[in-house]
Amino acid sequence: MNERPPSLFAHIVALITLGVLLLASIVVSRIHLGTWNSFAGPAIAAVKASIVLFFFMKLRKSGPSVHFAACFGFAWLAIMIVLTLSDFLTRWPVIVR
Amino acid sequence: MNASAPRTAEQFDDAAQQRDAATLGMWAFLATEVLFFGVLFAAYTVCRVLWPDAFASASRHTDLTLGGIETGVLLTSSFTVALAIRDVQLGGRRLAVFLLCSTAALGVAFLVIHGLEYYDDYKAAVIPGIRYEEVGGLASQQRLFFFLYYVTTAFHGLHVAIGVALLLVMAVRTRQGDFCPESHTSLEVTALYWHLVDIVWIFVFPLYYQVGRA
Repeated sequence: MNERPPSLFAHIVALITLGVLLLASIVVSRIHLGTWNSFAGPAIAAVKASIVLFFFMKLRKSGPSVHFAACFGFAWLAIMIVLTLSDFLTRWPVIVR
Repeated sequence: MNASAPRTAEQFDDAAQQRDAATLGMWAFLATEVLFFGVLFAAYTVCRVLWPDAFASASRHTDLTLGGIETGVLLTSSFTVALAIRDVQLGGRRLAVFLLCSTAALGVAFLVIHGLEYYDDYKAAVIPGIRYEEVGGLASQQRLFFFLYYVTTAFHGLHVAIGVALLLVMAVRTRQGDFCPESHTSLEVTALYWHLVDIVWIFVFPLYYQVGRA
């Protein structure tokens, strides 16, 4: 079975969007937003990564088994970071002493 | 179908089944790569939560302009490799070879720019274990930032170098007519690897270059 080639227009729009998001992340990093500065950059990065995953890596056209493998990679990463942080933050006064 | 195109391996019913199996295998490998870099990101998160001022101060030593250019180079390379696969799917060959070589060239450009950054870091004496002359109350925590920065970017650079080599092999194979619209699995999985290298950098950029810039 021959897979239908993706549209050139969609690829160009994805690249332009990635460029705009890159510039947006640089501009936002220069604006004082307090604590939100720590979240703005990674949040924009997550959107950029999603565009690469769904358009260039064709995740939106992939089958359930590929979705499963992709989700597990990021789910394990989220579990690792959340559990590690929960451990360190609850013992924070002991660690920095 | 191209006469020189690879045949379907005997354990598969058809080319589509072979492609699905290879794609799933590659995604499983990419999940392990996510965890490989994830450990470094987890260590970064912990250290930054514990010593936010030191990390913000150390991050200002990185070159935001060069980091932005490197990000743009890798994003463009993801675009060109995606177009190369599209061209093969449409039955093309010469444009695909050109796009694959362009992607490899962008990867080399990324490595050169990052090498320039390392050289600037050496001159600024912020490379722990080689030349580190930061002083002050935050110096020891800043050393942690730079240690994580070099481990993460060095391993990422290694992945880029491997990706460049794979892309050049794919360019040669495309030129030889190894791929056709029905069968180009090796090209697809190589592109998946390259996109993951791009995704890792997408997160490296805000975490190491954009902290403490406001």
